Amino acid sequence: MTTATRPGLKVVVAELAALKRQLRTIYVKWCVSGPTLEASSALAAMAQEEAGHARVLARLAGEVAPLVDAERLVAADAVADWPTLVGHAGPVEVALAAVTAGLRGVSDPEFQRNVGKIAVEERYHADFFVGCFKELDGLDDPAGELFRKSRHETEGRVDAWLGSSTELLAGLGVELRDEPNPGSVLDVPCVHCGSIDTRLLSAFGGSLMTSLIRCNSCGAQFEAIRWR
Amino acid sequence: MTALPQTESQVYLVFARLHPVDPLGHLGTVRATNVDLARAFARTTYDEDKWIEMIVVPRDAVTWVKKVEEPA
Repeated sequence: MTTATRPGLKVVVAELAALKRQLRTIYVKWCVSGPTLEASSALAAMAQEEAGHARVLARLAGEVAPLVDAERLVAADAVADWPTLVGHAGPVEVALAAVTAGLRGVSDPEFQRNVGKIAVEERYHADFFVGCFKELDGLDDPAGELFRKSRHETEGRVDAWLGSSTELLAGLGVELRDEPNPGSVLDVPCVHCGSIDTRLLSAFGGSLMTSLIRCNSCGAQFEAIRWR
Repeated sequence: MTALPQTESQVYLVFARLHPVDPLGHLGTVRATNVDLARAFARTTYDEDKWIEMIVVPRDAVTWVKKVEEPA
């Protein structure tokens, strides 16, 4: 049995898909109502990405059902204004970024192909909300209070889910890092050990169509197709 | 609806490149209250290509070496 077909992993993947569907619901509703044009554009892009991620993850999970009640965890219906949106969706996105970054440690090529892009995009979603946290956390007004209250409540629900996911993944030998993995500029995983901690040595390799990459994890050098 | 937060925002210049050998090109600007938001906004506002590298620079951080003088 490969790592990617183990039931524990499929449960985590099914839960990610369920949570992403809930987040998409919020973003679709708010993508024309953000506080700035940039924020609305970001929500529209994230709604599209969440829908795509949920579809891919649901396919990877197969028939396995999520254990978590995603609707209760995200509580999309309680989002009535911008501060509560950030308080509800932000902690979930930060947790999703940590879990999807951890999933990149699963050594299964098929799984990696699908999860690699999701993890990179998820990191940007977390970026967006970390920025919103900084903006709202310093406010000493009703908006700031609304945000802090909803963030605190959501973090309580998310922490329980993050704990159970971490345990499930630890059983598969996958450890979550404190910080979402920043990846590499080219986002090319090492062909020998699968690590994404790689860097570009040279724009051109043995031929015009390849670049020379070095893996910081195992030290191997390899070539990658340049336009991937 | 609760009043939207009023926080000081600043303009960030956005640069990106498509291939490792390409020069960084100036794409435009985004307005954001902090650098995390500027990164998120740059990615979603200028997502017309598959950039391999994208950077944001606070416009205040730019030092002019040579500049077109404004007419007197």
